[in-house]
Amino acid sequence: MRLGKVEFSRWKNLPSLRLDLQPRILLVGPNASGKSNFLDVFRFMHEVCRPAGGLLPALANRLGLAGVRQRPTRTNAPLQLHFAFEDEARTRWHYELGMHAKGGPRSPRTEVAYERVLRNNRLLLNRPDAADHRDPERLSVTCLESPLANASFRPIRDFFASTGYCQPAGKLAAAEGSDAASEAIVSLLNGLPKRLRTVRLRQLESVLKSAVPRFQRLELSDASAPRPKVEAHFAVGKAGSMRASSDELSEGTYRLLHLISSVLAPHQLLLVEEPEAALGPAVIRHLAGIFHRLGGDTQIMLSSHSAELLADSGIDASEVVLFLPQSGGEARVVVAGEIPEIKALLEEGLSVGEVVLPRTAPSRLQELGLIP
Amino acid sequence: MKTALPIILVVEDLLSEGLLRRMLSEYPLWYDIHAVLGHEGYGFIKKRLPAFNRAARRIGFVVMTDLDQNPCPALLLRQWLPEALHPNLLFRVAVREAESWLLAHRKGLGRFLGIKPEVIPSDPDAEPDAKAALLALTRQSPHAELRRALLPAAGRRAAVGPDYNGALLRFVYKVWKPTVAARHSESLRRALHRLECYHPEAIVEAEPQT
Repeated sequence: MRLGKVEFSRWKNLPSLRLDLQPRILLVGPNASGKSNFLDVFRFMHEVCRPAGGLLPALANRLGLAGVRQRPTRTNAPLQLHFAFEDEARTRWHYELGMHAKGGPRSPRTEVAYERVLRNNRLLLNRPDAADHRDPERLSVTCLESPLANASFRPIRDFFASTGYCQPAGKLAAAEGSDAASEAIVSLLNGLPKRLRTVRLRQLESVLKSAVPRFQRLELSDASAPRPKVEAHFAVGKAGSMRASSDELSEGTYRLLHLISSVLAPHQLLLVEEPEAALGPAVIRHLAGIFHRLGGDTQIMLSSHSAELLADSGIDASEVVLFLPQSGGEARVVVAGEIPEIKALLEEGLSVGEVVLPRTAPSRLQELGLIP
Repeated sequence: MKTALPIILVVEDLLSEGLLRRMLSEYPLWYDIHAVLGHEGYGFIKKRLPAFNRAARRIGFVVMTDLDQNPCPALLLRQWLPEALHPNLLFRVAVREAESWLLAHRKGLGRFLGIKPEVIPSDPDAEPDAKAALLALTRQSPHAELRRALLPAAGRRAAVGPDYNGALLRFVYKVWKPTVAARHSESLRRALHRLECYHPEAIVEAEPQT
């Protein structure tokens, strides 16, 4: 299943946007331009659809509707999230969700304003329906999240439920018990038949061996324990070897383990914030190609500031989504290939990185020089 | 016992880096690659060549660039470097681009792509657009994953596919044989020949001849 078009309105600080998404999507823009907020739509949908998830917990995680809906709210126009998918059988799916605030200031609650599912343009679900009018409390949950209601469009639920997320700076958290890299490795390998498990482990180790000098292999200790630990073995001196647990690894090694395990895992969608973080430029140059080669059918959506990553000549302008702040305040979110001057420069042979990254420089950056 | 000679590579892109490394691996004890500079096309090399030439007093440089549409390598060098070439700097030009050297190993490339070697051009140095020729040959390959990696998806403006470098580097390191390919590419043959006699250490203190 693959995401094609998305249309969002009133989500956090993003302008109304409509985008065509490719199998590989690179989000580029200055800091605080909305890239993470854009990724958060998909993390939100994941929290709605995952086991033990739902609309209410997903909103609660974000401080309620006020935390996700754009201010000001003079009207009660709904926050809108629309998605279009295509699956391997070329079936087209649409999922459209609207949310708004209900109830007074003393007991505010969030309700589904509308929820629609279409399969090849045929309506499978159109809420609010008669049952919702009879029992308005039904509007506090989506049909998407409920196995009692989503049988005819479960592939959409499965898509969001199998979304993965990979962000930088995991090593500090690892020391405090939340070890994203180890969890990613364990969840990658668990439940795989032995042969495939060996293949994945070898792929993971091969990337680490090429990118991290002295790295030898990985070992999963205590595979049956609730939180199996991952250990990395490094060559030391001429013939020695040392073991390091995940919180003892360098930031870059930890990051690479997390990143590659996430890419190898069978997510339908993988969200990555700044894959380049903590990695050397020589490694970063290979990332775009690695995502394609190891990613399989996973749709990968990543945000990046890296010239080396964007220098890959295989990146098409249709894969780059630009977040451009405007003087009015709201950013403009657009596929790079649709901007005329970008098209013109690309036709003259400049690479996507060369053309797109300069657009992300904040306009007031020159003022740095004026600070006494 | 030979000691390893320290050198710096200067390349236009990842593919050229792979080619040079594979060629140097024919002489594994002789070279110690301290760094690889560039990966920014020919502009960086053209701009920095005089600086590399001066720094060659201290360490060997192996520089590789594509000829592209320029008339001849000697002319290119004269345009980019008016002064004399330091003996420690090896300046090699792929005619007309790095992909020509891949095409030159016809049997190997045929095996890699799963096509008959006979359809591969027999004089790659004469190919006006070796990259386009390589992509056209890829279209004939029965290996879907290879086509997906090397060819840009339909309707795309990108010049190459999403794992162009990865796929070709696999060919370079696992299949491509520079000595075999050199029989079909004069520019590669010359590059290998110069590498064979390349001893920057031996003349490390020599001043450039004027």
